Amino acid sequence: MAGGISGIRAIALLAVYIGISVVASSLGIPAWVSCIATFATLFAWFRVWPHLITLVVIFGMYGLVLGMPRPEPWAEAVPFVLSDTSQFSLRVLLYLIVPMIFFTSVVDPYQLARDIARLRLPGAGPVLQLIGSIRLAVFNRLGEIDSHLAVRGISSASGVGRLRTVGLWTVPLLAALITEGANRSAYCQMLGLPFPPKLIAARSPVNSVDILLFATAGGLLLLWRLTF
Amino acid sequence: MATYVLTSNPNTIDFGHADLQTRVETWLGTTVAVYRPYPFVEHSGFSETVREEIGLVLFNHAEDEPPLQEFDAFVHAWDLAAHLDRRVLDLSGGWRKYLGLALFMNRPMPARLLLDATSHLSDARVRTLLQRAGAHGTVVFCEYDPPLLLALQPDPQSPALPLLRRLNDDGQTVSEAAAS
Repeated sequence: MAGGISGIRAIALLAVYIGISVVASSLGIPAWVSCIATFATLFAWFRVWPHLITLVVIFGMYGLVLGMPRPEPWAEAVPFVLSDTSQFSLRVLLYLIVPMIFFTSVVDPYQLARDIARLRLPGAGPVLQLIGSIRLAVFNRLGEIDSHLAVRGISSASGVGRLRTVGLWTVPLLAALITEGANRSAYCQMLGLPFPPKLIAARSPVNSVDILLFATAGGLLLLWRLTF
Repeated sequence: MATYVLTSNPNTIDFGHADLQTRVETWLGTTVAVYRPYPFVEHSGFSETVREEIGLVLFNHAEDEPPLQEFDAFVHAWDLAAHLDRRVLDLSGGWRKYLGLALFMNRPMPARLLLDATSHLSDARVRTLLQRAGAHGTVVFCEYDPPLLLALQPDPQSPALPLLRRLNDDGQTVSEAAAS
């Protein structure tokens, strides 16, 4: 699929992850270890490296804030911080942010919205699609800003170039995204549509990979239920 | 039903379109639906392909405002068949704008005011727009450079272009130009 995986595939992957997590927990492997291992594999499989860097930055900063005051060496401080339940747990952040960033980076927002639209939850499809398509909007606007800079002799398309020209593209990017959000509503009304419009529900394709993933998840849960 | 080209102060398109709409409505004696380009927005954003975009818009028309043409007739009339399965984001800027214009023209309105509608469109697309524009109600084009539209040559291979009548806007009233 050109734009990413379908919502059905995302649910299947999530089910497999939950299955792995409960079985691993029963074997004495902490849930945060299976979370990191599963999603590290998925990030590598789908090759969404930029989002992995985002995670490293988020948890690196969080780890620095929590780990710096600790007297132990780093190797001992990290598991302590991960297991610390006295304040907002890093594990909660891990379980929320890692899957969220992974699925945001690989799920096709259009297909997800179609799948959600089939559930007939009022407004949920368009809202999810608005959130999901922010990724597309950011990349589109960055592309436009890159070409505007390129005709002025400034190269910013590469990763290093982006960092060097951060002051040149951050403000227009934010302005463009805010403007886009406001104008999209006006545009829909100009075409005679309510905002958000009702999405047309189209069935998401379910193929052998999805069935295999659901079967794996079911097998893992069965194993956990019958064995432990 | 007629097609007009309105000459006005170019700044009106950006900064005085609400007042211009009132003046055009006063002159025509009816309400007008206004099309104008929005920065960064050239499609609804809720659909992936051209086929889905057209389907979404037709599906969401209000019950008391049914579209002038249903899917197949619309696609045929606006020459969109070759692009149906392309992603809207992969279309050129001109085609994206044309798609939005075609969907706007499919609303059942007695009169339309099109602001800066023809920029970024190829001559072929402008010809199609002109040929379809006057078929369902009065249309007023207000462009940054009206002589370009008035000087557009007809294509011998396609139907004749409609007669373009000229309007002037002096900032107070709209009136038909004497030479038209």
